[in-house]
Amino acid sequence: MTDRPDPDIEHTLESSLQHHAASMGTPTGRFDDVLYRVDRRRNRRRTVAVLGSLAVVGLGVVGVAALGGDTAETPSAAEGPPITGPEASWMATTTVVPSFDGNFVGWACEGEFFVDDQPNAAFATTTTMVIPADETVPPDGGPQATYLDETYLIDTDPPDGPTRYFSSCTEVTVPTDDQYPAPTTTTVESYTEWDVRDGDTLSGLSSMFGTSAELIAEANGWPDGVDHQLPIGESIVIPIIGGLDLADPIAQTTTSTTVLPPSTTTIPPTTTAVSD
Amino acid sequence: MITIGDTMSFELLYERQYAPMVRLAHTLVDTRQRAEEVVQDAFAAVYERYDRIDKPEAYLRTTVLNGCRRTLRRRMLSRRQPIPPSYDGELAYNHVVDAIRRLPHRQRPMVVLRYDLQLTDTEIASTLGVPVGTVKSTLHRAIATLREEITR
Repeated sequence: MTDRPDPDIEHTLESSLQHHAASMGTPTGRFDDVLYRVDRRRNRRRTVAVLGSLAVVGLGVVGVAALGGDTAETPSAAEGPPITGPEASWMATTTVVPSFDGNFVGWACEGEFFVDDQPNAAFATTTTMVIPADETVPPDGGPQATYLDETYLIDTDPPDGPTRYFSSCTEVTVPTDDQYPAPTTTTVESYTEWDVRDGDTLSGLSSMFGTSAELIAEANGWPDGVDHQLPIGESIVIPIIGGLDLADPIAQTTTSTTVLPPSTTTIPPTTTAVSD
Repeated sequence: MITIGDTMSFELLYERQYAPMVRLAHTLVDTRQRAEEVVQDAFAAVYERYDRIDKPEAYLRTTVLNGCRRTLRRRMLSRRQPIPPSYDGELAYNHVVDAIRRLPHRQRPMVVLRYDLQLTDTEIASTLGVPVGTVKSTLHRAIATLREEITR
């Protein structure tokens, strides 16, 4: 084992990547397409906010419509009333509806989901949020708003079965033992390093840091996973798990339980306070 | 409000960073078309808060990487599953790029950020939101794997 990266391999990498870049030519994006996407993002948020405020006003009506499955009139995205609802609370663009049949099976929806003809689906989401373990949240905020777009709203009991309202979406399957341990969710909050000493074991380290052997193996990129022989004398990366709950500052800014019909909330929101 | 000056510099950012960002994204998502989608969306996100961002380039990189992760999740790609070699369009097969795509998901962006975009450890760390030590150790492992793959 060398301590420093091999200069030869570094040179090979750099020149190969340069060559690769040259072979791609100069991709030129369309600037007007960016502006179009900006517009789309704004419209999406406006619609979602409108839907959120409608939910506050007309919970009963919406509930009946959702349960009855009748198609309700859809507020148009562009022509809807001005934003009056809690805009930030509806930034989510992806909704995953799980069913617990051993695997986490859900329907992932694009942001446009909210502007199609299924407004009820927005109300079918409830209050548990999962932030995937591999997500990056810079501690100082950083591109947080982008991150918020990736919020997952989880609903365990959508009215009348999930497919009815999520038929336009893509089915995704995520094993429960991978990044979405259901129903409890965890997220990697930070990473630390550990110099492996003789006698250290993966299970010992994971219990010491309150993390899991799988996450450690994953964070270190070991191809043989948890069977990897700990490299004595070297430093390894330990992912630190933080429990995520609704007291999380990000969760607070992105979910609003007040706009949801209480009857559809089957996962009680975690109320444990997290100190700042 | 976005002033004319800001708009101009956003356009400059777009001009300069579009190609490198597509290369970065393309090591993570499987087709160039998807990579360009991610990058366009990232630019749209940056555009919206351009006047509030201190370091647009860093912000853009993180946004692109988050977008790639989101795409990967949607495409049901496990993070350990390597992206198959890409034969779409005009790209010539490049065995080093292919080897990078077979790296664990976590290591790929670091290699690209370092050896393609030429960022420092500190810049990579802030882009990915991990400690500098993690960057060093992860890159070290990635290089070890790549050495095996490339020289085999």
